Amino acid sequence: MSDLDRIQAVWANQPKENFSMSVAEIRERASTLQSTVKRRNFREYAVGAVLIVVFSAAAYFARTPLSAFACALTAAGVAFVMWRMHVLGRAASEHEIAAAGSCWAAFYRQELVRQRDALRGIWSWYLGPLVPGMVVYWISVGVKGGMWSWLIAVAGVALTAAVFAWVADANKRAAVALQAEIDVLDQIKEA
Amino acid sequence: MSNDQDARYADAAAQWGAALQRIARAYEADPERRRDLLQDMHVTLWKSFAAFDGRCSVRTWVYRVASNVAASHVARERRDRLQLVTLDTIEHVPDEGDVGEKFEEEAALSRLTALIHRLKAPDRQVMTLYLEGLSADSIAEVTGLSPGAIATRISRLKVLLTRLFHEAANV
Repeated sequence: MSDLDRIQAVWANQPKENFSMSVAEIRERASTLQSTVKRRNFREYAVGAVLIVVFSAAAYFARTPLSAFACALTAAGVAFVMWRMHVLGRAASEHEIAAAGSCWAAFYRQELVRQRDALRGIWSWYLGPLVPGMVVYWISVGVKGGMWSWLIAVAGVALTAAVFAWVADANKRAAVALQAEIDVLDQIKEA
Repeated sequence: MSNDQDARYADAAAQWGAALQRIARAYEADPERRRDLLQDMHVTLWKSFAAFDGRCSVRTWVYRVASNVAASHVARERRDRLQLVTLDTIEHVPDEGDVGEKFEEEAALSRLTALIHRLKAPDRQVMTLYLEGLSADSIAEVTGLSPGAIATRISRLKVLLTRLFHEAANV
């Protein structure tokens, strides 16, 4: 037996874990989201729900109509982001089922393209919806009175813009990395 | 159709269930996440048989579904991953920690799994299917990669695996 045959035998004979699913269990689980998708979504939805509750409460207890409006806009922005994440996640799950039997390279390329496009469009579905609430909030800080209030507001806008720019840049770099992976995959497919 | 789907899934799970476990191990080191991944593979396999048209063998279909579910899993988890490498750039076979007390085969499996986890997607795909005993033609059918690309990778991974075997034997 050659070394390679022995390695393949080691791989084939590795300890089997105790795992079984009946067709009834499969049917039941198939009616819900995939396990890994469900776990990831739960984490993201929990964070989103907390933010919506916090900003809604802040809108209710705000001292001025403008700051209440800012908090309400932010809560609405977070809700929009959650909805887009839900739509994107559902599309990914549907793709996973619909294309399950296609060859790996085609499937994986579609997956990479989907992720790349989501990252490239970060302004339209993630950062953009949060901008109005942020802007109105800092305006509400500025109009409270005096030059200092406006200085704080300008500094706040600058800080918010810097954070958003950093997030956008990180996503842009991730999209470039995904595009590089797509290019390599295309080369391999045609090699 | 539903009975056909159930019967096809049951047959496939009975025949290829162990292969699904091995592929899940190739893609996920964490036991809890691996179990989730394995469940997802089974659920997707069952769903996929509703669309199975017999244009490829059931074995090819099962390996495609398992590979695709695993690919989605890796793509989702990519931000938590190590820096991945290709077969021609990996310099040494990673050590899964202290294996001094383990048997030779266990040490080899441990190092093999660690090696697979470090590989970039196409190399990991070819490596896993090669270890599953698929021929180059079968690997091409499952992956959709060109025969030339597969031949190149198999040649590289044979060298790597031979080295891994000797290193594990010397542990």
